[in-house]
Amino acid sequence: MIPPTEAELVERLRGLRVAPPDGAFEERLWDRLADEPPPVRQLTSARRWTARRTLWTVAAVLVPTGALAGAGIWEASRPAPPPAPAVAAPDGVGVRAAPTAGPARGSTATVEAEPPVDGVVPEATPAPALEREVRPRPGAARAAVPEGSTAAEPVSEPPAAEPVAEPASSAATEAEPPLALGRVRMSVGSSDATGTATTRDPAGGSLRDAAGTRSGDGAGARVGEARANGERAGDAAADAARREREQQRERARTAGEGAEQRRERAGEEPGGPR
Amino acid sequence: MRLFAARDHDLVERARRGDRAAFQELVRPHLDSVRRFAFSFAGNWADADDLAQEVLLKAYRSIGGFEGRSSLSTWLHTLARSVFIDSRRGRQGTARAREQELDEQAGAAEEAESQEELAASKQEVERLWRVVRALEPEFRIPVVLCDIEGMSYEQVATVEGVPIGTIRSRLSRARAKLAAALAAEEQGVSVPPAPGTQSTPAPSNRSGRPAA
Repeated sequence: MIPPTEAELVERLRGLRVAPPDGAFEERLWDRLADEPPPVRQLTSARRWTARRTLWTVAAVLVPTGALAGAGIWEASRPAPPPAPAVAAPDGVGVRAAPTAGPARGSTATVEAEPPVDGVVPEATPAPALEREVRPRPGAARAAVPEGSTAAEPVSEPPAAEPVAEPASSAATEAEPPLALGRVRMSVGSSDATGTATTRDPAGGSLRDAAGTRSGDGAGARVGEARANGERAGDAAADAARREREQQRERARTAGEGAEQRRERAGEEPGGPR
Repeated sequence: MRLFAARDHDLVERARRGDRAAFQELVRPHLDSVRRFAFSFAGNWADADDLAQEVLLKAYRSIGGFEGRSSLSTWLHTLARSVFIDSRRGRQGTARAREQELDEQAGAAEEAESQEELAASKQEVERLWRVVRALEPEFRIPVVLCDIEGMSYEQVATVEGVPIGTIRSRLSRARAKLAAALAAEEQGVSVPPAPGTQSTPAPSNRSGRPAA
């Protein structure tokens, strides 16, 4: 006998797709269902991940501020505060590393090199640590984002000097290196009436040139503009040099971060946020 | 990718909160399919209904784990497959297989007394189910889900936990086996006893899951 072709076979199999005999199946099913306890509420994997991430985010924000200092949650598992550099830990890596860090782990160096003890410092040395904590740090917004360790950062950029250099005041420019001086001068110039001429010497020609610009003296204005252009060129060169140095510093920092991240990814912190 | 409508999503949410009516509405369109799938393992409708009820109660208990990444039908049939395979492992499965043989003998005797046309139709259905059940589970499941229930290769691959190519291959081989078995039956050669009903399931391709 010739076996049925595949199409014929599929056709015959489709014929089996008929309604099964009733047999009060549904009634019995719903009766049994009524006896069932309500289903256990389960978090989906996405929600589980979100909840875990939220928890770590909150912890990363609260722990450095010392809000959990009295709760006794973190102190128990934290290592003792290192005596060294009391510098701010900008991106909360210490918070992640602290619970699992131990002398046997490879990440110990990271934990100790960093200052992960922002939340603990107020107990040891209350006054200076509190001052540091209330100050808005540039990396505070990044604290929620788990990033690699920045072990080289505190060494290369002492954050204590940074906020002082940022405000544009003439008093600060006296103590600052020429790069900062140029930056401050630019801001003063931009607040001038003409916006074209500023000078290091208030009694010099540039103010006069500026006055010339206001009075319509074309020659004076041109001289003033040329001088201002020269100053701008000098400032631009100085800025370029400063940017170059910052980029070099940034590259060094990034390299340090990359190395730390690779070390962390190698499984040194199984409990930390990923 | 969500494969079910917003209305179904709402029903799932309500069912998760313990709303039995929502669960009923959600699974009612799939009851016949689950029962037929169960029949391919149980052999008689009473046992098939028991198995199907186990599947649906399990679905109600674990509806919280349904994330909508596959269709509800796929999810239900995956649960069903797990329940069916598990049910074969114990003595319950062996008892069912024995009952099945008795039922088939009784059914055949009954059919012999009934009218000719009806008997022919029933015999055709019985014969088809018999040869389908004679397949090993790894071939039977693609035949039932693809050829009888009309599910896609992708859905069956999800149920089985194997690549689509494997399903295509198994389906092709299963059809060849079915064709040969049907030809043998029509020549009067009896189909060998269903290996899936007596033997333990074959090892699965996916770790941690029983074989199909």
